[in-house]
Amino acid sequence: MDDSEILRLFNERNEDAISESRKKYGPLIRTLALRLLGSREDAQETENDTYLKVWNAVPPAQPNPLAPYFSAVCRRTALDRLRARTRAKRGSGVYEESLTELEEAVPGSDGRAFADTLALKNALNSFLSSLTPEARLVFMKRYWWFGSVKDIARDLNMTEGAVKMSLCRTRSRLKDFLKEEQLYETE
Amino acid sequence: MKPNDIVDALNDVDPTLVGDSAPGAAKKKKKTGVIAARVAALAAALAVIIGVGAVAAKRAADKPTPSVPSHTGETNRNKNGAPEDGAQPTDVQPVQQDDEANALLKALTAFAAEYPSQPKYPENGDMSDEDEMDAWYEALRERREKCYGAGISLYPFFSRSLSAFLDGKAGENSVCSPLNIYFSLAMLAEISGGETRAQVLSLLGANDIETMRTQANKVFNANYRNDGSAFCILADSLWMNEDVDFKDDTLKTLAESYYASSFSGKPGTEEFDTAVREWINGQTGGLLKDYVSEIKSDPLTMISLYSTAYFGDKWQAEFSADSTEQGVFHSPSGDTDAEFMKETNLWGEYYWGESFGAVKKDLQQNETVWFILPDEGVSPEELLEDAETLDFLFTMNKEADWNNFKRLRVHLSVPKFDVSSKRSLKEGLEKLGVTDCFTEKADFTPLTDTKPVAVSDINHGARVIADEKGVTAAAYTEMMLAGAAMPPEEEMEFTLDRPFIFAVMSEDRMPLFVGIVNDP
Repeated sequence: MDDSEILRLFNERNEDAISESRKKYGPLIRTLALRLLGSREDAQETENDTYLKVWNAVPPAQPNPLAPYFSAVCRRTALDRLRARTRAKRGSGVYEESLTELEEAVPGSDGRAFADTLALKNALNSFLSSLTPEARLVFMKRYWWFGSVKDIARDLNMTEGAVKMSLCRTRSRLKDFLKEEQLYETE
Repeated sequence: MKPNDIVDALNDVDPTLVGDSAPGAAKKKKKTGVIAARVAALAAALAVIIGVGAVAAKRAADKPTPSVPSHTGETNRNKNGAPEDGAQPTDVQPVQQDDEANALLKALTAFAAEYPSQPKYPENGDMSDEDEMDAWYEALRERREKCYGAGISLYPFFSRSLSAFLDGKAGENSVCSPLNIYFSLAMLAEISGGETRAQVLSLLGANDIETMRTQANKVFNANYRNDGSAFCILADSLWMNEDVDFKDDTLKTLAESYYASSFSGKPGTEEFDTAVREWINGQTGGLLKDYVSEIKSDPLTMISLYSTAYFGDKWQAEFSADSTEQGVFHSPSGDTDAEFMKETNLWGEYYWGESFGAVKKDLQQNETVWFILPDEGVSPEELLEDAETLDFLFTMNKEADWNNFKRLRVHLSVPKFDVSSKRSLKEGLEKLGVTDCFTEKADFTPLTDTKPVAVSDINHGARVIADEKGVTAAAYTEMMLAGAAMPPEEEMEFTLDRPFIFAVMSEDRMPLFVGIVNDP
């Protein structure tokens, strides 16, 4: 079923919207949730929460295409769930890894609050569009989709070394970029 | 600022960037990227037959060749899109003969090849059993690491030979499996010696037989798939006359490097022919049944090579059956009715060259089908001799740095097709410099000391079916497309309503099947 058809079901408050969404986007968002949470049970609940949130948001929201929208809602839901857990229960290695890696890109990473969330969002958008398509793809696959280096290498026909190198370069560019934009608090 | 801030802020970046980087959005698919739950399928089969007989018997062996079912539009298809007489994509086995046929084949087996075993793909891509999914995925990953890209040096061979292999009568459909022809020729090189072998190796661009053997084995493993996901069954066999002495070492090499089983019996007998037919039908899901039923061996044949490819996979995103419409296909022999499958791809990709426009559609398990539409006034046959087109087709990841590319909304319209063709490859191979094997100069000493022997003919039959099943989508009016022009808008129609080329490419861009559709 195509996106506008699913959207129509949501707008008509027809519950088939959920089953059709599950059919079309279930595997995609389940994978994302599983990567972050590392537990099938949690991933399942996150998936269900995602459908519910979309159900509540549409209408009035009219996202088309739906894939990025479902993914974004799922990612946010999974991150919230992950942070609500106690550290002991934390299951997702790739999330922890990503945070550690991203520290390199955050010059003032001493826990001080970030000045302006909206500005950071805008800055990231322009930063991403300044990257080469390949570097951007690698970066997004790692920090948006939380893919393992191995998976990314396979997806993009690259060696793992090349993926790591690309990520490393992009992080260092991000650091410079954030400095220039003065988006972090200086001493 | 904390790393978390970046992670959070990323959530709100441009949705296009998110979609583009999604697992399954690029040409490579994640193992769980099974988005189309409904069945839509593309199935293909091919058999290459090489008969080697005594030179004196050459005329006798040159019998009229059997013909493939020419156009089987009314074939009853099962839910997987394969004909009713074909096997289900999920339960195809390398050999799936019934007990009687099995016993017959067993009795004739001289040297049995063991196919690589592959962990099963969880049914419908179900992720609930992680162990099962992991085992499948790990095996796939291992194969990728070891074997992918092994066939890159074959691109010049594919480019040079494609038009020779698709050289049918003008205006007719034409299909071949370049990859399978490669395996047949590799085996031919393996069983021949001297100049006979040198000519084949030269065509394949191989320096020596050892290099080619290693490469063939890797290419086989990169593409062979029989794990319940998609299937790509490549099979080779050697059929020997029991009156002739054959060298075991070569049979062993064929079994180990090419997964070719050897059989021995009395050609010309009903038993022998039945066994051959059963073997081919088993390897091709019965897709070539009409063709195979006409196979009859000559009593003087010493050896025949049978090589098959059988492929099937579902579309990553199905065509919706409700939007399929009757339309007119402008065939060279006149306008004809066809059923057009339609879809709109919001993040479509359009590629173009001097004389063509191209759109690809992904299959679930990483294979890709390219639809290539020649510009008005250019025939598909001409296009297959065009250097730019061949470069586009046969270069790894070529589309990644192809300048004539635009991302836009593409309304794709493809006629359902079921095309088959059958021809001798002899003339084409002779043009490409492989001549000795057909004459008394032929040298088959690695296989047998019996002389003189020669290849009587090389026959090749193939069939490809593309189909859909699905739900609803909008319909759009059609518009002719001038392929070479850059698409002016953010939206375009890509309507294959005149002769076009399709190419089924594996994940590491080996041409599994390439065909010309002149009449869908």
